[in-house]
Amino acid sequence: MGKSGSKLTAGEMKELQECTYFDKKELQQWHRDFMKDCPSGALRKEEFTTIYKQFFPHGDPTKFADFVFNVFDTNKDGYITFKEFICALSITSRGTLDEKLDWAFNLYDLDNDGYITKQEMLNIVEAIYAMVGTMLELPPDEDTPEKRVNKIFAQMDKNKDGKLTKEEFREGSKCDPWIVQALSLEIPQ
Amino acid sequence: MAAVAAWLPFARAAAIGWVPIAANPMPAPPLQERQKGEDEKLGINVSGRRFETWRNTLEKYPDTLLGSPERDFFYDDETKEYFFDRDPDIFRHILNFYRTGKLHYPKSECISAYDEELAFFGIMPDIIGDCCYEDYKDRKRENAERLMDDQVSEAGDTVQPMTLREKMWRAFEDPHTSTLALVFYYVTGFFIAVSVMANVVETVPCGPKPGKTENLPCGERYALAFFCLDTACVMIFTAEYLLRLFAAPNRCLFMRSVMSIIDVVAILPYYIGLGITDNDDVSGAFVTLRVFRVFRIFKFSRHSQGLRILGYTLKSCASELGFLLFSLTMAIIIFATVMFYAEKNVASTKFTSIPAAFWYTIVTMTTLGYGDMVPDTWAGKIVGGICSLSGVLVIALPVPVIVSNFSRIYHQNQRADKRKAQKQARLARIRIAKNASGAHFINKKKKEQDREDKIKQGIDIEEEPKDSRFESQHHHLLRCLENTTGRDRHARYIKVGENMFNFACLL
Repeated sequence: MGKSGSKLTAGEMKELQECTYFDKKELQQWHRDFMKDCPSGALRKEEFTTIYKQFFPHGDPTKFADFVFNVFDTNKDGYITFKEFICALSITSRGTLDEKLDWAFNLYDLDNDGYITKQEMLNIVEAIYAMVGTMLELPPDEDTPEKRVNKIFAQMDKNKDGKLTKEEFREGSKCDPWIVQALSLEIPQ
Repeated sequence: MAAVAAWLPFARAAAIGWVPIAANPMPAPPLQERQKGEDEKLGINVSGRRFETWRNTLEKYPDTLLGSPERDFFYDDETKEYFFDRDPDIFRHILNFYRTGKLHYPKSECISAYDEELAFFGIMPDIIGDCCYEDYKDRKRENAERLMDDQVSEAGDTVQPMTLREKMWRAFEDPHTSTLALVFYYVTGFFIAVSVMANVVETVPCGPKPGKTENLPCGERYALAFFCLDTACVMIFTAEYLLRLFAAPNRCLFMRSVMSIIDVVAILPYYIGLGITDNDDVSGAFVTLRVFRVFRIFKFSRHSQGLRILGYTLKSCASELGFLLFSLTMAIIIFATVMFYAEKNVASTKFTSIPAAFWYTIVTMTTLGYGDMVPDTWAGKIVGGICSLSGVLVIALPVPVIVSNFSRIYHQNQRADKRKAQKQARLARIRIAKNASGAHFINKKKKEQDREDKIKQGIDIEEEPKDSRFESQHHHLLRCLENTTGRDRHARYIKVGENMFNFACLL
């Protein structure tokens, strides 16, 4: 596999500029960093997990990194190309509230069937808990993930079918003021 | 992976996924970056004293701490200024460097404190302007000398000698290390004294040998006794020299050193004397050799520090001594010439030649005045008078320089020893006072707790040198994670008991 050019071609650049919120300079900078750490031009799951591990050294971010990888990898071919990478990054850092919520929905919907079940959400929550690591030992009777998931479902599941659709998820999140606030803050570069 | 900081936005992006299931509200993101390009006044608080300057002033020198983003590490969000816990008096000079481009060294400040501040702010001392550079270099050199003295004396105490050879060498160099060394020290000193005394007493007339009329010097009367004594002394000295040679870490260097040459010169005449038989041809040479025995007295310089300092002073004042000698020679020649021509015509004059007049000039200039040569003519007397007056002046000039050199070196030596003793006593006193206080105990307890908190908060040490903005945002990310999972709630349970009710409601 030859080294795909260290600079973006004009066509690629134009395409990316259209579908992301980044400008030319930022795209070039991201591309440069991406190519530096990933000379093959495509990020694999292991490398993805390694990056994550550096940010959360106290816990085990493997599971969560797994889920995030699946969201980034839109065509599900096992590799994240720069385009997939930068598109996901653009949505999560500069997208509108709706786009961000859609992205989060895709994160939670592990099997991509358009619904989030309680089990799926529980998996995500457990993965996040695993990232925090063993810094603190919660007492065994405190079954927080379950309770939280139940609470969320109680709030968002309008038709009480045990599953969340994209609309339910989106509307339910929008009702919560500080979810909106947290998601609408622009993350600085 | 290179440039971890570059991937932070990526990790942060995925954190979107935490938000919907967060148990607690997220903390606000850290400060946004200021607009670049517009100049603004920055406040710098150094231990309570406020300084203000334009940002462009500081950024004139981007390779220093204040000119680079490193200063953001010291930014205090609440008071919106940079806080440094350093000396405000010295900081004034550092800030002036940014303003004027020239770094000045204040004479009233301690050189090592100044150096430390410069090192902290990332400024090289070589930038000091010409006006202050000489002073700075002088002070630095003095300080370095003093530190070296301390180091040398300290190093002598702490190093543990390993081999027998090293132990012996240490015992020779510093007699206070063990009792054996001390005994050796005193024994050699005693024998040096005995040897010198024997040389002196040898020549005293002792009275005639029984059965003869001649008054003989003691050396010839008790020839055998003196010979035995001499042999014993030389044996001891030879043994000492050989032991030192064996123990020396660098033998060639040792053999070339002054003390070892003195040792050799002290014992050689004896061996040469053993070799030469007592006949007239070489007896003259033999007598000369015996003169060299007096060099044994120089062996005392190992035993007396004052003597060593004197020798060292003379060596270091070589130029002054040379000047003294040269000016004296000039004066002697001038006056001797004038005296000779003034006294030439006197009948049966002692001033037979110019070299003969040298003796008169020397005796007069040093104000000895033996009186064996006296001028007769009035011209000669006038010249003689001028000669003696000028002699005083010429000798008096270089002497204070030599004296001050000696004084400085002597006091330096005394100071090194005194300082060492004082320092040890002082440290012992400080240690006792510290451990007795109650604050020490509380401090230790708090440190343990802080360490646990720090580990909970996030990475503390390994990412430190990078851009601090990254660090703060990284910590923020970790805090968000904690708030998502409510992990910090447990900690708050322990700390804030009364608010348990409030936090339980949050869930």
